Amino acid sequence: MTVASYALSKWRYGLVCLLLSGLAALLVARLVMLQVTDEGGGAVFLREQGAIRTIRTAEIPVYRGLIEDRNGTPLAVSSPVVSLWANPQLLKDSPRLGELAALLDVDPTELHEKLAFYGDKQFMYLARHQTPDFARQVLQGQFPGVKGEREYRRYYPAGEVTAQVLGLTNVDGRGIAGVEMAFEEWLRGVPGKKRFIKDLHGDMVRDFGVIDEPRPGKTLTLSLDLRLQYVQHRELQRAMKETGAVAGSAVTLDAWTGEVLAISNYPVFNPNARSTLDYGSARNRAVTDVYEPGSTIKTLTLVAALESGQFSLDSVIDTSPGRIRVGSKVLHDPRNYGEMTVSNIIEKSSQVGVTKLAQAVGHEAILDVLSRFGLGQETGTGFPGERAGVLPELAHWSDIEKVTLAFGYGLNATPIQLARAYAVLANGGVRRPLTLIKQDPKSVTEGDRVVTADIARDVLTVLGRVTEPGGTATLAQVPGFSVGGKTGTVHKVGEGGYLDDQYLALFVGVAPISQPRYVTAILVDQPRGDHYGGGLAAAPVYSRITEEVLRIRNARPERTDLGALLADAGTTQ
Amino acid sequence: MRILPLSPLMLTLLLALALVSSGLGLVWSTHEVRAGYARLQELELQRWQLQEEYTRLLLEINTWAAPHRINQIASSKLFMLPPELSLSRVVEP
Repeated sequence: MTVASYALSKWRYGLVCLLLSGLAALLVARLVMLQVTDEGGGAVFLREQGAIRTIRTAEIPVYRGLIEDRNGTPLAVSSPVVSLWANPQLLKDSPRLGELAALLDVDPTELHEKLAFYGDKQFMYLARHQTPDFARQVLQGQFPGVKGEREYRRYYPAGEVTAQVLGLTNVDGRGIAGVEMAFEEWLRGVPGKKRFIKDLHGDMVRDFGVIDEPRPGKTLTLSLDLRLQYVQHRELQRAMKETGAVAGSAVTLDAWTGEVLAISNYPVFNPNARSTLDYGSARNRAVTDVYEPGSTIKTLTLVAALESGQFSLDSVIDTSPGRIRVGSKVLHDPRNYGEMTVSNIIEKSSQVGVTKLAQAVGHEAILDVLSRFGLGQETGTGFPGERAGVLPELAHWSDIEKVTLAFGYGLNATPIQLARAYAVLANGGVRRPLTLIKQDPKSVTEGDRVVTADIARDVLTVLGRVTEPGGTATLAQVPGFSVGGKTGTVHKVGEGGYLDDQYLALFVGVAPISQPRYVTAILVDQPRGDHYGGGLAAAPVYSRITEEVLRIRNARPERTDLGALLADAGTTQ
Repeated sequence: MRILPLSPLMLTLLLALALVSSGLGLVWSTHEVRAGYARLQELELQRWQLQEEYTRLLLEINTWAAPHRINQIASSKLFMLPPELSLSRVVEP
């Protein structure tokens, strides 16, 4: 009995051992599967789960590219700031809320309500874009759940002087207007990434290194000259005050390279004070707003007249009796000019004379010139919101429409387009795309010849006479230089047609005439009082700006009147 | 049959020595990594602070040197005027 039972126990003992060691082996095998052989993704799964609980990826912030002017003066700078944030779950019941609210200068009840509102979240901004000094002060207070995050904020050292052309970035640092938007790809930095192990409190205990190298934005060198920009801004402000106008624009181009040297508008805004931002004054009107260009287009009518071969500058046209009937309308000159040369017609801006020229060359020829000089087309700056203006496309042209086209009515253009059309003349008849980026003078883009050099020179000669005594724009003169240009005075359009008492005053000029290079267009919107015309409201602005343009750009004066000075000195002694 | 020219005892001692020194090496290198990492963080912080100061100074320079400020000081404090043409002389290069 005992022997048999012993034998049985031995067998059972063996079985139990086998089963138990089998179970142990199973466990080991499973362990090997999970940890070593990665059967069925077990190891990967566990490693991932572990990593999720400890490893964090942090973004390495990068700064946005600097924008500088052609001389390297910074116009837009990204400066490090700290955004303060809180974990509402840790902060909301803190007894030190009052202290924090006082430090942040916010209403304690408001802070409390905000914390309650985000109570089930783990993240909430307390104050964005604070100066690093202030943020350090708050963080040293060691409030529960309050942390700082590094960011960059955009500052514009020149403020309103360059505001409309540079545009703006939004709070996350993306360009939303102007140059900031047009060159977003170039300016934007790509944030880097790094991995680290965090501890219980979320603090970094070990760094695995950088996964993606941060790539800061690139520096953008504009064609603008801050000094000219300032001069334009100052003179435009002054003109607005003197004429009581509601708005204005000024553009200065270097015709030889197609670079925009300065571009200003009124009203202005301060890009560093975002809370007071008014989007109406943020518009770069010189590029985004179209106006009827009026008499400034007569210059291009002159081009068409000279190209037709029917006229030279000295051809004589009889403008008496100082008025002319076209269809049902009668067009007047201020007085009867009698017989005039073609040159005189432009110098005096004679309606009758221009009407006769327009009737002789036909509206198709004029439209063709307008189109070749870039009207109805974008200028190539790539500025966001740039308007191309409209050239009329009529199925049927009435007699008056054919003529008023030659006066600059029935089409519209931006001030920068007008400047570009005159830049073709300054450039000897070659049209270039405009650019806001500084160009290497040795490798400027080759332009298209749109008119012969002879005609361009002839037209500039006439423009030069416009500013001489007897012309319509003697106030455009610049001491020491001969300059040329054309005025425009346009009735504004309101409800029900042209308004009798509201005008646009325009002047587009080229300087110096002996070596034409700098083109400036001035627009004064709705000057009040008697001085509403282009010759009185816009030409003086042109003169003051161009004087500084020529000085800053080191143009050689044609006359210095040193002799007169010496004579004066002689008499006083 | 001896493969190595060393007695088993010597071999054991040598291996033990190697093991200990490798262990100490690990301790040392881990310490170096920690110290290096602390230094890296310190330098990164310093870089951030220097950049902070650089942009602050850049903005400060440009505020002081703003054209309108120079214009104002030149005309109202120093009584300067842009040179009149009659006072200018062209010097050929």
